[in-house]
Amino acid sequence: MQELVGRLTALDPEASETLKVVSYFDVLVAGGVGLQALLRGAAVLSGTVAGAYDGRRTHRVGPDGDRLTEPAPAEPAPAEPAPAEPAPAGDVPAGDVPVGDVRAGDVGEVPQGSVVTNRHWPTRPIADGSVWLEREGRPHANDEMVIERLALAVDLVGARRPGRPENALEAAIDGARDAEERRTALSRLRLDPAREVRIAALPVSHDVAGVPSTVVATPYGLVRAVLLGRDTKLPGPAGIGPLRPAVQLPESFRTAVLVLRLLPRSGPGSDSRSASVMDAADLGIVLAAVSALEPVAAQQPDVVALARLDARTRVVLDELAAAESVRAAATALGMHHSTLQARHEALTSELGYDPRSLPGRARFQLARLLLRLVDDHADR
Amino acid sequence: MAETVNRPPFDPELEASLALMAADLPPTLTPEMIPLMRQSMIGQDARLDDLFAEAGVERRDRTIPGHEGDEIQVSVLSRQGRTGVGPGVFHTHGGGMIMGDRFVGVDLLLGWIKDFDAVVVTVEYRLAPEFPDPYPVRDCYAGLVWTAEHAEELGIDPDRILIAGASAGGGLAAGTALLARDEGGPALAGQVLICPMLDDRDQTVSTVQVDGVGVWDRGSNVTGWSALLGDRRGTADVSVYAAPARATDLVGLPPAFIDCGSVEVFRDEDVAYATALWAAGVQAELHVWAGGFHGFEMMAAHTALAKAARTARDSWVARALGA
Repeated sequence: MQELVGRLTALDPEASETLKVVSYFDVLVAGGVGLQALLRGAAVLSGTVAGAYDGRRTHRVGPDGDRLTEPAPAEPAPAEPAPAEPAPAGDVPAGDVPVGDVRAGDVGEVPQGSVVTNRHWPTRPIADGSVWLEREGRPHANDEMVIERLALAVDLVGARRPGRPENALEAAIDGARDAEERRTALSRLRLDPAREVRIAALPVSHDVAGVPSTVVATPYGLVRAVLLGRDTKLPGPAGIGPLRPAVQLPESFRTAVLVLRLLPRSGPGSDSRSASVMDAADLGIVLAAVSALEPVAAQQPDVVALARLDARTRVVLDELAAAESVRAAATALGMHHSTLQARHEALTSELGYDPRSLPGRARFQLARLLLRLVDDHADR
Repeated sequence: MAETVNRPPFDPELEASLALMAADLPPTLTPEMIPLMRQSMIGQDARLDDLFAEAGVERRDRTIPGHEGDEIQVSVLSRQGRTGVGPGVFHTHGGGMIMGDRFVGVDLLLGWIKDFDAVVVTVEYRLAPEFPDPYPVRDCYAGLVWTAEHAEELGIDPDRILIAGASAGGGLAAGTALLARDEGGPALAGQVLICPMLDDRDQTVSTVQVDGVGVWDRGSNVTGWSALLGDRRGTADVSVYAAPARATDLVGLPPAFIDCGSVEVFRDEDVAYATALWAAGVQAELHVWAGGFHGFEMMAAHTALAKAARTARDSWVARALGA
């Protein structure tokens, strides 16, 4: 019912809404939209004009989603406004500077070949140019996030053009395509279908140079798939799938995504994952258990009990379950030994098991992993 | 969640907008949520004043006789400093028959004030469940009669009055047009039915498809109709004025504009109503916007689909008014 919500308007200028920004652009990219829709998104979320220069033309969109045909306002020179310049609407011959004013002081700060915009605007380079937000006055809390995701999304939709090598990987890991199509993709990747390979899942904003990589839409947002070579250096965060013949890439990528989702967050309340690398091979039967239990995880009493706790308490539990002794855990947490001893006893009665006992540790670890799958926005 | 129902996908821009608004908008509204929903819509007055000022629109409130002579309010909206005579638009607001006020959705019409010099009369009909059927549609009809009777004073050309409404307001507009035909009421130049709510019977494919997803899903729709009709919902004891989808005789109705999204509960009943109008020899224009959820045009006005929908409707209104 449209009248219950009013309309989608700019994000709160004061409050960080990272998840909203990320999910908005993820859905757009997954839907295969073009540059205009991405700019409309950036403009409506930021409440100001969003612009892009794609190496050929300048595009500007207002916060109501309408395309603007006039050039971007030139940056006023100190103490005196720059004269307004008429600029050609529509196509601009390559090599011309389409909008704005080039000033000697700016040249070093702007990537060659991209349009010169106001130096104070949030901006990011893209494949053949740049994107920006025409923010006047104080920056808003979400500007940097919006422009970062916009740049990423523009490059992603650009990279989707057919015939690029990353499309071969996209086809090779797509279980919805038939075996014939995947074999063709493997041959384009110069991979023998029987050869055992490993594939990793990374957050979309990370990439690894020198190996085939692509971005795919999953039910958990956009994820980057990276085909690992024999000695690829893989920075975290990443989840690595099991070693499997190349024809089974769809299945091993699904596993890699699951492993990525099992990574802890980098801190309480953080949106990014800790920079660790988790390998399906190290999880063994635990991975099988987690995978089988995922559909019913949210109803498991042990998971519900952990979800009820606050982030700090879960950190305490993590340390208690992992440490050699309560004393060692207290040192790691910077707590007094007797204080932690009392917390340990209280938590044991609250959970109904002791996370330091052998069966308790197993219960705690499994519930902890399942909670990460269930609760995609809480700290991990 | 196991997907068992085939459903057309949402347009990507709309899906992204939904993802953003999901937190404030559960797909299903239950009867106990009505007071809360009404609460959340209060306090819009300052925003309205800004909206009208920005559009150069002047607002005059009038108290008029509604159903059975009870007093109800209307607001008359026109261009500041307007004189002379031009087209009239009688507006019945949306809100599932259970919420909203006469300013809900009015921004869809403000362009007509500017472009065609129209005078908009928007009616504060009484809401279900406190005022069940026939109060809402009879209040709307009383407002239309008052508008036609006061056309000269309002600067409205009586030969160029449109009725327009969205959602529940679209259903009320269609019902009011039927009443005007059957009771010898004012002649209408056209009816603008924006994603209209026409059918209480809960039997279409689209109602099964849009259940627990999107905006104003099947459960919400049952909540709205039950508030309006009580135990009569889905029985033979429902008038065509309450649920125009039940009308079998559509001959002699004014030309209609109907639009909706392909992913909304009302899709099939809206398409069926357009088909029935054509069968009765009535001129109708139908747009089913691919991937649209209910009310997409108002909730996600920045999207390509919303702009296309607005442009198409405005074009029809221009043709209907001979502008």
